[in-house]
Amino acid sequence: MARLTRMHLGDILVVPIQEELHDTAAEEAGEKIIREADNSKIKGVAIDISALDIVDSFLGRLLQKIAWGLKAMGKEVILVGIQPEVAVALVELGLYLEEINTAFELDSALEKLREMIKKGSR
Amino acid sequence: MKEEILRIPINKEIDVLIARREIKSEAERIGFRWIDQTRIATAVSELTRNIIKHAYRGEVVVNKDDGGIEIICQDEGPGIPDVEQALEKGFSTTNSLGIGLIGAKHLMDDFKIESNDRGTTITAYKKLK
Repeated sequence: MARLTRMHLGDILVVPIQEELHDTAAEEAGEKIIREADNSKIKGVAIDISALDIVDSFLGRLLQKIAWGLKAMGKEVILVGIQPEVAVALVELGLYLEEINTAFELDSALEKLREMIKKGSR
Repeated sequence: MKEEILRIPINKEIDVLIARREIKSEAERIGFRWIDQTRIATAVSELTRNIIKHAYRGEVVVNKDDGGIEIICQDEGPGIPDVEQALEKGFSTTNSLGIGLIGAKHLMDDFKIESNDRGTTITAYKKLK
């Protein structure tokens, strides 16, 4: 697959998904995110999907699995930038992304994530 | 009057992306509002993925008429043994076929499945509002 951009901002890993991925590429991206987060310095992960205008049941469920996996590893997770039409389609698909934190844009996502990390370490 | 506007072979994973992208552009050109463009493209994604996963190959045909757009997904796979059950199983199971089918049904206005041991044809329609 194409390159997957990963940025470290202090103890936060930011992963912007910048292009449409077919299923195998999406699974590979998921594995890369999990592997990259397997680092004691990383306490939170923000996955930015604002570039995606189509998220179907496969990708929706995969994002859910990645988030649950990261949580199981003790990382805080936030999904950033779900487009309004994507949000509508996901709900109609029956995917409510329960128990997954979301934010409208990266700024507020980082703020929220820092709070979650702070709360978690208390 | 019905007119065929697209015919896309579905053989590889990447074809799912090509099909939904091209059909989304057509939906926009026809005059569907943005949210319906996404509904149609997402339904195409679900249905073409089912072709790749369960039948390996097939094609999607798109027809346009005065009232909207018709998406026909056909394959020569083993067929869906129990269509009712595939549509009933819901989201709680790991049945990816059912999730895709139910999802596509919800996203479209009209949805019909014909399936036997020589293949499956799914016809879905979205009205232009």
